[in-house]
Amino acid sequence: MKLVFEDTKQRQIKGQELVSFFVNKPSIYLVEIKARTKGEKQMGGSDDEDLKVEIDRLKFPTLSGQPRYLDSPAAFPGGKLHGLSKSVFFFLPLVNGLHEILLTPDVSAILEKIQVFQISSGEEVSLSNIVVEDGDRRPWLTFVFLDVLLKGFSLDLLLRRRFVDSDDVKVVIDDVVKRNNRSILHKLWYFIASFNEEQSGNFETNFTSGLHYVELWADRTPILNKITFKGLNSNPIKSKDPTEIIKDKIRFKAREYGFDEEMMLRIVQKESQFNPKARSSQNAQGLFQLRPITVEQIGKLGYEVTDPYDIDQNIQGGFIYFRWLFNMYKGEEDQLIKTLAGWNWGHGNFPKEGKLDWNALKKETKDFINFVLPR
Amino acid sequence: MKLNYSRSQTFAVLIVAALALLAMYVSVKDYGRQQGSHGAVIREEDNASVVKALDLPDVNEVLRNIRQDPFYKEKTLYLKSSVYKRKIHFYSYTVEPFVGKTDVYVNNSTTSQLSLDGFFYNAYTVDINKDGKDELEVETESGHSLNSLIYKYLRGRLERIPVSTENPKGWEGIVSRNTPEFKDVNKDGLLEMLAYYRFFPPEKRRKVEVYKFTGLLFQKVREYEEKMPEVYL
Repeated sequence: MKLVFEDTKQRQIKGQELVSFFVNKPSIYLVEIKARTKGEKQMGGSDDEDLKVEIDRLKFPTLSGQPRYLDSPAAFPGGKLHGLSKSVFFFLPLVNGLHEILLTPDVSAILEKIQVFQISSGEEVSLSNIVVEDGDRRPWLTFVFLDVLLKGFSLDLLLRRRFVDSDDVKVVIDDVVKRNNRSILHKLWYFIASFNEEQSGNFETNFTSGLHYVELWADRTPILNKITFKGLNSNPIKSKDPTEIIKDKIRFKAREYGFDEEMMLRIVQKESQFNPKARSSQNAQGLFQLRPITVEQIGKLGYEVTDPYDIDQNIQGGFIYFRWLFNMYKGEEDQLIKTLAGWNWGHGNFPKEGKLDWNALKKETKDFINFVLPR
Repeated sequence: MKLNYSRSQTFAVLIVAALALLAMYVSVKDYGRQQGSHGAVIREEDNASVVKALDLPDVNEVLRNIRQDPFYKEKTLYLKSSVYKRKIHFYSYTVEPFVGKTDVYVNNSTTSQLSLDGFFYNAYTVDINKDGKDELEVETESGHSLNSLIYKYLRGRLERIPVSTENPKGWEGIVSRNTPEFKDVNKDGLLEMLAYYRFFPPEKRRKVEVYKFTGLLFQKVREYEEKMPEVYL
């Protein structure tokens, strides 16, 4: 598995939050989201905290056919977690390009981390050494399989035996609890410490398509030494159109820099029609049509564009230059229009302060601004 | 008064005259080979006749600081007339990030005649009205645009030739993504200036504005669109 994206900034989420990530290859990806939510009592008698997750606007409902997204195994229900953390692992095929994780809390939630891993075709995927905080019976780990093939999985667990209240682990596959036939008292808990401290098990799934959930519930402090997924694969995933990839990269960068995505896309459309090899007769180069002198100056700001025709370098350089211009007009009236005028015409050609004299702009600059910011 | 020359004296005078003519011919031919121009005897303008106070041997001392600029650029070319050729130096430097200036020096003057906005892009000489005197086109770049300004040398100064479409409140000359061309469009022996403006991609067209030099300014005389084999950026 190859880590392709990581967001480990722990934070409280009170409103919807969109997290974007970019992948370069069509493949199966593992998206891990770890979060914690509080129950009603912990909230002082008000509502439970809950958190639901959407990936690329795909929702993860219960398997009963009813939406009930906050009750889905892919959600983080405060009424069950009582402030403890839970991890949800989404296995799903993704095309190359920009992807989005939409986090929607009910009241609020604490996001602990998001990680995205690329899984190579035919790779045997294992996760190991997953520990849990001490707590009573609650959802611990959920593995979500969306349109991927999975023959089965095996578990290796370490359970601590105690005089009172030993560690137990429940296994639920597609809402079906795997029963333990050795204990009547704990028949719904497949692994119980009273049998043995080190236990393992193999489970067949034979998922072929659609949405599937594998849930592990924890009682007290079991440790998942290792979980191995067997026969994990997907149907062929088509590559995205190269222009769409470029657009995705621009959108991604626009989010990173806090600029309107459509505006930045229109700048590139106007400059190069999304042709990364575009070269003007006067040697303006690449997607943002960076001039050599501009490339040099971007280098002065700390980013070396060694190849203006390289998609990533040109986008990065273009955004650095645009942000530099935008910051220069901070606090000014018509900040954005001045930024665009400076981009097109050169910011030395009109006064920085005061209202922009629209009539003094050359036609091409007016056309450029009108195209990028349609009125 | 009647002058009597012997045959040998007459022959000697003819020989001297022939040698003088030969020397003139060689001189003119050499210059023509060297300069590819009008066949007249041209010498580089005397510095002292243009600049009175020349304390320094050249402009290097003055420009030392400019040359520290990592984006410093310079170019030298010669502006020719039937009598003189004038050395024109262009020095371009960064005022602040993404803002350049282009200073223009004539001969070895230590004072710039022009200080133009933008980084120096290029400069050319061209005899637009075929009067035997070159005009100077200077191109600077700012943002994504190029600014082309045309000058004639008059009374010891570079004087800008205005363009009929320029906006006194905003810009002078031609401002475009592209630089103008000089062509004899109407085959009258004089050059017209053609300015090019791009269309929105993906349209494979461009707008062309044709300017005629009236002696005082470039007057727009025609405007048309033309198809291009590729998107014109």
